[in-house]
Amino acid sequence: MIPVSLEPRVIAFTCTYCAYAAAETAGVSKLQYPPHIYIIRLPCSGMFRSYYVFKALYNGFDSVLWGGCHPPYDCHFINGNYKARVRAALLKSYLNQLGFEDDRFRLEWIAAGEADRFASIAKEIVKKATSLPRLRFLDNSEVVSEWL
Amino acid sequence: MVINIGIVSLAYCAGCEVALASMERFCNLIADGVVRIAYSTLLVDSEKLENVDVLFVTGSIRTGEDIIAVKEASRKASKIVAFGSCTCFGGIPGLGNMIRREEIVGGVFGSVQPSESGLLPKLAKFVIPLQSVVDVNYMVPGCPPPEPVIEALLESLVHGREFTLPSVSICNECPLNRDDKKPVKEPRRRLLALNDVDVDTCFLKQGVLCMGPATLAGCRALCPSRGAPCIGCMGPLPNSRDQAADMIDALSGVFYMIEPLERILEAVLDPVGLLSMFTLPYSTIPYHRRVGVEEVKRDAD
Repeated sequence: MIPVSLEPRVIAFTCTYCAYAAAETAGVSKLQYPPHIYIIRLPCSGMFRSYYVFKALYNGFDSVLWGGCHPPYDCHFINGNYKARVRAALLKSYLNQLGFEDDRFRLEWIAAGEADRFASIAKEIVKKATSLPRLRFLDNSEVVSEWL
Repeated sequence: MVINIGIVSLAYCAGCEVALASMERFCNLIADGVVRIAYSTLLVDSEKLENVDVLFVTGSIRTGEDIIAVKEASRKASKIVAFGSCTCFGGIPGLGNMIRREEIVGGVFGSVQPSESGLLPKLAKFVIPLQSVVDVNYMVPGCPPPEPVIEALLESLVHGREFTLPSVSICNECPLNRDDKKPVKEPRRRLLALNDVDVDTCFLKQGVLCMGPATLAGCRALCPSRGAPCIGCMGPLPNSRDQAADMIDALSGVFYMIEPLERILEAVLDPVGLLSMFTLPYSTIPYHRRVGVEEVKRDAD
């Protein structure tokens, strides 16, 4: 786990060609967005693996942002964002059935030039994460220690 | 030299013992005196578990008694085999992690309360796989474990050969797999589609949910080659914990041309029950939020 004191923590998985470029442009053009966002660069939004969300939530991140290129034609790898779209819908219904709020996971299309859009989404998701309770997951050893 | 086997059964359906006892090879080994079943509540008449060479544990850990029993039994064995998906990954009883233990007992037994001395045993907080209680030497997944895998296990116990599970998915040994990478146009619900499905074509290519891509090989595609889609009883691949996450990734590669998205969600109506039917307690988030997640007060910055 990353030792940080900033609360809440939001992890953002961004694709190199659009969302990461937008985050960089936002920084270069001095647009303000909260420091609670930890940005991770992926080659493509279709490169995102579903267990990243489970791992991030389990290890103490409050919500997950996932950025990709606008459909239909922006994706550098032709259909990565289409796959991301289906993956996000299925993941959301899976997390919903496990009892997690919709706000904990979000897929957004952010083009490389939309720095202001990235900044506003970042502000919005951190604001929403602040209103969500912080979660602590019980470990399997706590079940065993109840009996031994 | 006789290899003494003890079989400890926890929350289970007895299918694993039946699978073991119906193996011709296993019966021959017993007849030749190579293997002796020293303890099993189902197969032999013996009161107490003595010291054994190999301990088979079947069934999932549901009650507190299960935890104590398996911990005590593990002290009397030199090798421990987690036999069946219930032991390795939590199995079907693991889906009980979606409901709090008080609700399970209340819903089934009404006002009867579980107690230490009474007839109704106390449940553990949630179902856990065997590895979190004791160290396991061999994992033998499957519901029940398929014949080639049990054969390899017996081979390793008797002749000392190394026991390894395959590291590929069911699709690698499935006869229906034709390496066709075209996206699917129409998803269908598994049970509704089974009447008009073509059993000689890949199920995923026909839009029917088949857990093959996210499931460990070893059963030689028993279900898909006989006209039924895989339900994922062999558990996740060795480098993964989340069978559901793997399957969501695989489905997105097949279903990405479908509009609107609601049609996909209608085809996978019960995502937890379908995608992690056998492996919920083994996954990264192994329970429903109200079962194992505490809300912690946020310290203000």
